[in-house]
Amino acid sequence: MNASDPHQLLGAYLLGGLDATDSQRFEAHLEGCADCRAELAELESLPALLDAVPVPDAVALAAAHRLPVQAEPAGSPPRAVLDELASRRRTSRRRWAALVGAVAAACLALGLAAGPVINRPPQPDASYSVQSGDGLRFSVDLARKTWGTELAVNGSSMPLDGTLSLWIRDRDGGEDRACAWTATPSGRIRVTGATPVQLASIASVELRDETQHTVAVITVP
Amino acid sequence: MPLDEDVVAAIYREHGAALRRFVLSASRDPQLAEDVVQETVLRVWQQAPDITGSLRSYLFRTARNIMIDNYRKAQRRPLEAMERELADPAEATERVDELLNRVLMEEALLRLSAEHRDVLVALHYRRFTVNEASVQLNIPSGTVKSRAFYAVRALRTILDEMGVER
Repeated sequence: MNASDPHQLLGAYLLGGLDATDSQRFEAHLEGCADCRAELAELESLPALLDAVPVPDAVALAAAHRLPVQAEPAGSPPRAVLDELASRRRTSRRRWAALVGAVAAACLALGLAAGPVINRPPQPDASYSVQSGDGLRFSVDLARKTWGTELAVNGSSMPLDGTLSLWIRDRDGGEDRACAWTATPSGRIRVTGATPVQLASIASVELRDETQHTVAVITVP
Repeated sequence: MPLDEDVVAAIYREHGAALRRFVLSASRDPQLAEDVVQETVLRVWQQAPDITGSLRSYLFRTARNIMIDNYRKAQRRPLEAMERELADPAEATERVDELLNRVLMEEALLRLSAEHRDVLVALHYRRFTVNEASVQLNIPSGTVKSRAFYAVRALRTILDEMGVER
């Protein structure tokens, strides 16, 4: 593309630097060039955005690169931030656990309470539990494996009949059944499942009943 | 997966100074500003997995929200004389947003190549014509035109990457 290509006048036209002759030349070109019209429409908010920077500051910015670059002092986190980090790590886990069961709340009785189960030996990489108002309790320990994720399920007051199953939903929306079992008369179950989905990619864990109806959901942060 | 401490240290290392500058420009109290910076970094760390696009503009936006929340909270409290001038949250919000836009645009301008930035500043801010810019920058006027063309395209791309709305 050479400099006399009318298409290239778009930049200077938009910024208001063209003289009358070039302006007219570009406007004439614009009438016949859909590409230029589309591009101009895409760029036309720029001058207003640029006006957010006061003129003297913009001029100073342009001059700044000619001066020796002044290294910005690399910041480091103050002690207080690291302390706060440790405490938030706990609260944010709690907060995440509170997201548990948006669906469960809709399917089950109200009064859902959820809390993470932490420090249970042997220590899993992540632990979540959910409890519904009608007593269903259900926890999942997730352990990171080279082949995917191992899930240790521990439930009580579970549905009493049919086949129950645990489904993993990954962050791309895919689903994988991690394990399935026959409901026990006691409503208790302890079962281990496996999924090729990596722990970091797990978006949620769902418990489904015989009819594939979701009875509880754990949303993984 | 990196340790949380490493993530926070990296945020401070790469963005701490710029973030502090932005917050300080909106707040006259250095201690308050420092609190906003800390809260911003921690919040962004907590949301880190969901962030797409430029981390720096996300930090700026988060700091903006924290500052505006602070103004609102200050307004609900009985006012101390010092705070009264900033008591109108709508006004405070507007002021912080203006600053945010300005900081984001400065950031975008700094990301342009020096050649593109020079032409953009000459034409838009200094209101030079192509010929005046050509004399000022000591480059042919055809070069001013083509640089202006590539500069506005590059700026649009940078703003899109930063998540600045059109």
